[in-house]
Amino acid sequence: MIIVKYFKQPVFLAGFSIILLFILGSFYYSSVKDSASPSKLLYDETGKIIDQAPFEPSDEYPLGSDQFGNNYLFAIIEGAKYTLGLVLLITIGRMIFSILGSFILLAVPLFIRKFISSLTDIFHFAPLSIFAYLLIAPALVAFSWSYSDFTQFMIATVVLIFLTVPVLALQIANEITILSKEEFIQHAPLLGGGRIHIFIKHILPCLAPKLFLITVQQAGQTLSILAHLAFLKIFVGGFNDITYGEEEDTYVRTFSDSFEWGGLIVQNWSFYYAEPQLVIAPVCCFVLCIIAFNLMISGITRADNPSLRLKKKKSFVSTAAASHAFIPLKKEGMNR
Amino acid sequence: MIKVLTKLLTFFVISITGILLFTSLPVLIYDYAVLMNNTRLIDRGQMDNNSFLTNSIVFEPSAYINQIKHTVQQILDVTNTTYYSNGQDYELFPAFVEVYPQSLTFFIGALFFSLLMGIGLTILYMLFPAQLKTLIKRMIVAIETLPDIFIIILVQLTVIWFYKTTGVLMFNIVNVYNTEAYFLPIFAISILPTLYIVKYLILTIEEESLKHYIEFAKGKGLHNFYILIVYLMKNTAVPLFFQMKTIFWIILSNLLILEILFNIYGITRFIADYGVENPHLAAICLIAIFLPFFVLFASGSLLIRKLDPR
Repeated sequence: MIIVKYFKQPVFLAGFSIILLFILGSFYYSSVKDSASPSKLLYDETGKIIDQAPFEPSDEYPLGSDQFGNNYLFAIIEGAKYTLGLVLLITIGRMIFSILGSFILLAVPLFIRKFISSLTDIFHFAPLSIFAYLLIAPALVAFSWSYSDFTQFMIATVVLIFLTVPVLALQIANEITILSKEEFIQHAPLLGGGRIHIFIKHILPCLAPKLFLITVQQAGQTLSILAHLAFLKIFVGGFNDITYGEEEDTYVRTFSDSFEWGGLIVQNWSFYYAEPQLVIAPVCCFVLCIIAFNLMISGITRADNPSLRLKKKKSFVSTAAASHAFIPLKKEGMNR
Repeated sequence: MIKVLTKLLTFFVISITGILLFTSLPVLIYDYAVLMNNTRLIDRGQMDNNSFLTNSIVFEPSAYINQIKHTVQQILDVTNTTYYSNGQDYELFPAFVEVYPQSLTFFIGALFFSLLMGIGLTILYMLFPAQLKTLIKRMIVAIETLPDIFIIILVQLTVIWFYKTTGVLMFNIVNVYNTEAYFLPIFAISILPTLYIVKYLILTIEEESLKHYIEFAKGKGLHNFYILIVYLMKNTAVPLFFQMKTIFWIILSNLLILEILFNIYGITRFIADYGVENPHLAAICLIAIFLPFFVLFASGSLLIRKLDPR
């Protein structure tokens, strides 16, 4: 298995274990937690009320609590499996559709490919999350009364999957074009290899490390889009609006059904200035996971280019300067 | 020259087409005619109960093409464009003129600030000894992996923390009433682009400094600093210019989070608030973001072409 060599990289292993710990911890916690609804008031030993939800951070409540008195640390742990599960779903969806898309792109004439590639340039002129927002918001924000929870979830997931498919499909198609110009692949048809045989036996082994790298990059990028969308008041995974107040002076608060991190950000946004930890804690979880994915990426690049650090001053044209260890991760701009 | 102009023209046309095609996409998959009609009824209080309304995903190519036509009409007649919000149609112009220059200020400010800082820091970096260089390089890579949300929150919290401990408010943190924050927002969104520029410049300078003419300049006895400023900086300017698209994109993505966290009502929030109900408005805003980039890019390419006719 080629994947073993990545696990020998400590950097990759560190990133991978952070993600794994989040997921396992989340599942473990859900299996042991008590289902009793929490108290909105906090008493000291003598039975005196000392705090009202949301509680201040203390020993028992390391991150305080939300406005229902749920221990916030546990809420975040519970949310990890929804957020990371969603990321996994979206990333795998993206990869499958981009690989299929790259086959289509390879089949059509070259000028169409060039045209699509210049069309996708528009993604540089606004944040990717704005493009996602424009497609998701009709169902989740503007006309949310018309759509059922399931449709909303499907729309958000499908949009997030297909948003980067054009760019990714182009990238993969270009990789395959470059690979198929290699001599050993050019000569394979002469020896009687069919197209499918050549793809599976010759192109795929060379392509697989790149695909793996793109997958991890996409996972990190999906996480940061989810975090951005949370600040735009969009989160995936079901919500309900509760209207408070008297007739004229009403305001609507949105509550997340799951403890998904994006939902936690949206739900606690109005407390940002009063209890900043309620927003910052889920943001930090997003950041931690993004860093973990980035660690995995640098582990992969190191494992794939082990010779780079050795031949530093051998050739006249700098290999050290062009070494992959220092190539911008966001060279394509989209893979953040 | 003609070749550059045709290239720029095709770039312009394709980008505008792309924006039109994308911003009309919601009309293709959502039943906008019915949905907007219901929204108007609800907003005007003519419909109280909306729980019976259901809708699903549709596929309407004819509505899509009509929307594109409509958007083009609105763009050609941009002074009379209206947008719908909360039961009323508003004129685009007074609102847009308030929103757009503000974002543009932050944007251009951040672009120049990060270019300045990036070039300055790169020169500083080149003066450091070799061991320190690898350390700094690693630090840059480490900081750069942090997402924009984290950096902007961190900047904001640092200022708040500083204020709480010392009582000195270094900068305005959020826009409240008529006190506007300028320096801190620009600084906050410049951090990531600066790092990107520094990293890119270091990479190209290291590549460039292995070339023959630099060796020759060294052999002539020119001072390292002189070589850096006169030869290397000049020759990395063009590759840096073609990275502008990426730098632009990083700043924009930071700008979105900035506008939300610093409570600045700028163009990205304007799109988010009204662009959904009015696809043509989203197109106009995206073109408004694209235009300054195009002007910078076109004038830069023409300048490069003129200075270096090859």
